[in-house]
Amino acid sequence: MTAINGYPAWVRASDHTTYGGDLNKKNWQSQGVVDARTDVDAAALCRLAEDLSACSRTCPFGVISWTCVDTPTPGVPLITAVNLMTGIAIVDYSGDAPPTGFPSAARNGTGDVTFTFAASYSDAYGVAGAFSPVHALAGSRTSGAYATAAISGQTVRVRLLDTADSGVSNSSGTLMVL
Amino acid sequence: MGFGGFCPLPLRLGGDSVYGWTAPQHARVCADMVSSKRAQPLAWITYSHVSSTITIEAFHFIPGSSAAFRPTATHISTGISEWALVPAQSDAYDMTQQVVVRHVIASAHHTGTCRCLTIELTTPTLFYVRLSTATGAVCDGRATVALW
Repeated sequence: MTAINGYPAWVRASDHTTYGGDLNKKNWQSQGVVDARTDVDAAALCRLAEDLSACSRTCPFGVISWTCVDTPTPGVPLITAVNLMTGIAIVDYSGDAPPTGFPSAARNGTGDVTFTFAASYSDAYGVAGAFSPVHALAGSRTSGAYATAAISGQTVRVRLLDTADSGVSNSSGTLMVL
Repeated sequence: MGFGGFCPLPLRLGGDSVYGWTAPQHARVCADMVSSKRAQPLAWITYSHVSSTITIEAFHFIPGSSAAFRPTATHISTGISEWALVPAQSDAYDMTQQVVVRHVIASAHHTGTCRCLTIELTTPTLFYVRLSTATGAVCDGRATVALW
């Protein structure tokens, strides 16, 4: 298998040079593009490398949507969709039985869920990169509820609360982490 | 391998960092591009909702950000709006795919008495936003919505 430069995007360590950009990049013998339908020149590659670097700096690691299971019988949250940098899940799964590589979720109380992320994920080439959430943004998808998020190590706790700060039963939310 | 008129596509990997594009660099581009596409937001919308008027103040959408791509926003009642996205979009090469929104996150801007916001996704291209005060009463306001 080919060698690969750098670390996966969620490590946030790549710059333009990781992707093939170079401040001194040149067309061979200063011969530029003759036909834009057939040629890729140094300038285009430099722009591609820098723009991908820009995107990978701020792209979320993942976004998760879920529904709490509170009544009539409290249960494990149901994850309804996940987009991670490492893969996408569009089939519902129970928070205590995540597919390999996807976060688990545990119920703390009504409208109160903790998501747990792995400390490392691998890219398509098997290169591992450390991950630890540093930004979390949560939103409510249930009318009358608002969301708060708190990061602690590899976990993010999200609460869906009403205006009296009480958990909202069977509420739904979305969490973005970076 | 260098770039230029004497080096037409297919571009061959190799060379050095000044005149070429190495296989390890290309491999990292591929992996990170796929990673970013999986998690990159589909759209960002910032809007205001005052009385019955909804004004889209900023809109960025992966297929395009011009007025032609904007969703249809409908006033339902005070602070409550309905948003409908065009169900299929084409990229610059006319590759067409269905739009399927699976995640939405929104935040109310701290304007006037508006503090809170909830959002309900009812179909893959239709969602409702409700702006409210800290006590839960619907109100005019301003918000930013992100879609995936």
